[in-house]
Amino acid sequence: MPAKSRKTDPSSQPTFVFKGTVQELKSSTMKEVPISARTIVVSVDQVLEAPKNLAKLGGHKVTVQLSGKQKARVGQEMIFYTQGWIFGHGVAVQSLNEEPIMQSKAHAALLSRGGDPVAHKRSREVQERFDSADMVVSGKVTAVRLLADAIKQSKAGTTPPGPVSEHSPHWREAVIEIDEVHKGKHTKKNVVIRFPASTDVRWYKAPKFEAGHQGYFMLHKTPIAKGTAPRAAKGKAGKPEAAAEVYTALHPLDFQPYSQQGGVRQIIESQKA
Amino acid sequence: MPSSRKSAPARKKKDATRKSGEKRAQTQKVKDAAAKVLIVNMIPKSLSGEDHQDSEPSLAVNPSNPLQIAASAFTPDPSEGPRAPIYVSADGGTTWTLNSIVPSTVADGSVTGDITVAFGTSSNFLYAGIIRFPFPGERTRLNILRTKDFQSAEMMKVLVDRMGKGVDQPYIAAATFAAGSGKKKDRVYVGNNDFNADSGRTATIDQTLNGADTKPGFTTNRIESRPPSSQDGPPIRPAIHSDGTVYGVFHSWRSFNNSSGEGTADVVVVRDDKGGASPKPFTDLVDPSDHNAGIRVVRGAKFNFNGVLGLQRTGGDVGIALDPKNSDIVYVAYNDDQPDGGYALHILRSTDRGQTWSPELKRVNNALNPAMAINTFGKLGLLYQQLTGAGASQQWVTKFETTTNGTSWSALTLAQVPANRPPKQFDPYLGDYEHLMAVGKDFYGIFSANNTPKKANFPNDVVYQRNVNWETNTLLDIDNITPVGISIDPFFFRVAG
Repeated sequence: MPAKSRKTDPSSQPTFVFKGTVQELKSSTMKEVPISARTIVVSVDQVLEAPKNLAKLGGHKVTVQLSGKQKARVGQEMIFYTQGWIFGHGVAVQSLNEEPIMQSKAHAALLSRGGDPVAHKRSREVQERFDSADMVVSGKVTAVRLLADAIKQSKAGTTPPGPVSEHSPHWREAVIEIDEVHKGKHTKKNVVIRFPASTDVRWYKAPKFEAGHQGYFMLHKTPIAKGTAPRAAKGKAGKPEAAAEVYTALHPLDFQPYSQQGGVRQIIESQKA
Repeated sequence: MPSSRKSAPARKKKDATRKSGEKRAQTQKVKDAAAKVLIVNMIPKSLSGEDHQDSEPSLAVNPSNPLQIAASAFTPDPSEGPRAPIYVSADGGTTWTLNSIVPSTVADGSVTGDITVAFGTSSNFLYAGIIRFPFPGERTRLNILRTKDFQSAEMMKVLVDRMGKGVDQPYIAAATFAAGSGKKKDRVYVGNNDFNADSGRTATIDQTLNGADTKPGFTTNRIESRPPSSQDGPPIRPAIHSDGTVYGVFHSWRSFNNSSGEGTADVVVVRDDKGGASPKPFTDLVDPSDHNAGIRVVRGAKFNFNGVLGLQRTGGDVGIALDPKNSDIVYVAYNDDQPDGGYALHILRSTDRGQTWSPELKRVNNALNPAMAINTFGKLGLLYQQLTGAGASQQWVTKFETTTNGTSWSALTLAQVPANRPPKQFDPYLGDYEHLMAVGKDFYGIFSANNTPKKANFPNDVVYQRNVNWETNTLLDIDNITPVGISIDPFFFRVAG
């Protein structure tokens, strides 16, 4: 079950994948973990995919709550596909699946690929963002502007157009001059995307575009509220449509500068090859 | 003076003796305080490498077992999974773990928006009010959650899920009533700014009179009786008394300029003597001047929704605390902008169930995030964060003060840390709130601050779980070797009453 092959719901994806050796059954490295028939102690031999916080667990013992799909025995080497559970003096994870090490090509490839486990996780996530994108283009941001409604409100007076919240996205539009369309269909030379200028906890990770930014844009169609449709989506009478979709690039991986190697550039090149 | 007649060497000797005595006294003072105060950096050892901005903390001590404590902050799931974590302590706050049981999504960073937590008094249920990610645009999504076992791996149950036009800053309070019709039932109140309200009367308290029920029915009470300028402000804080009295305080916007962010607000206190079960909930306090529900404790407080104090955004804070022995006694805290550009914190008190209010009991300039609680001795605890100094030497000073009469205050400095480091990752830098509560005679609180491991930053001492080198004032990664950059961490504290 190589991690790269999964293209399903991210919530069911393992986030910490490692090769480990079973040390103890019905046991735990942490007093906070309720011991059961499914909790075992495993030494982490090789971290294969991990978030930054777990990338240095190689050589440590962790508690694993088995998925229930496999039985484990002391000394057995397995690949564990896990998500986090309890983090304290030690670490406990919940296994979504575990596989005894086999003489298979898939396992051999996974165990021999080396490299940075954080980078491997990131590569998988870039692939997932690419797969879920409605359109992928390369190009250059030629202009950034306020939404038409915000300009109108600014001219009209000081009454807020909608709820005032510290979590407001403060939407902006970025006009991208397209060099090439890599996924999806788009015949025009430009595409307008919406992005949040807000630095609030909800929005700070979303790419903040500026004129001159060049790179790859993985665009996702996003439904927007009535009254905030972009200029192009409005009817002839100038009234906003009740429901509309705009392109956004809200995930931090949705924009990759040309200067950055790998990532979406590699995906595109591999598709061309 | 007699000392002026002594020889120079004698004076020197006396000065040295005096200084030595002062030092001993100071050392003793710190030791006494340390015995009385526990401050803990809550990041667990296994996450020694983390450098996230863990701001906007909240805390819940289980009154029936104060060894059990839950807490929250803008802390993402360390494994970047589909749930956000809460902090869990089973030993009274001495050690902490993270347990990811709050609904979230991987794509949105494995974190929640605003989150507050509260235990029922005797039910052992933990409740949470959160802004659940994702939400589209301005339309913040309210969830009210519950778990019977906050240490289990099971995700918290969703009791309320509401979005519509958006619901902001849920702030939760809960209590199990010991007597009366609600005996042994959890009452849960969630202050929130609900943009679904008519005519901009957005200040709201969602409540259930039986939170532990299989399917607790929540009702939505609009507590704003006056038409605001466009809406009310984000902070709406409930406070519960075991006799059934429930108060609420909110920032009732009277004017607002969308271009500048400037506005004025009344600080309004509402009350319900039947726990929100009155025919017209939260209308037991009537303002004598306009005969509307809700006493306007302060009129026309200035705020700026785009304002900042250091790296922390401002916009008008409020807080409230009740005397657990006497529901007539209630304190209110609020902030306002000052003509000199400062941001002042004010404390007022009522001894007649909110009908009349004292003059200002205390004022702290350039301070925010007021959190208050009253212990069983009637002692008020006040937690706040004050920006002091200027330029590179500017500090955030987190203070805990107590008073029994409102005039004489005793202060403890919990943290005094550089205000301009680390750089801000996002808003809010420290949080739009922090939390304080009392269980029996003891106070329990939480705040977020710069985590540089330097004893001088914590005059009443501190305990770190994560790896540090106190000699070099450096955070260390899980290998106990690699340096880690400073960040904002949550700190738990307990002060013996």
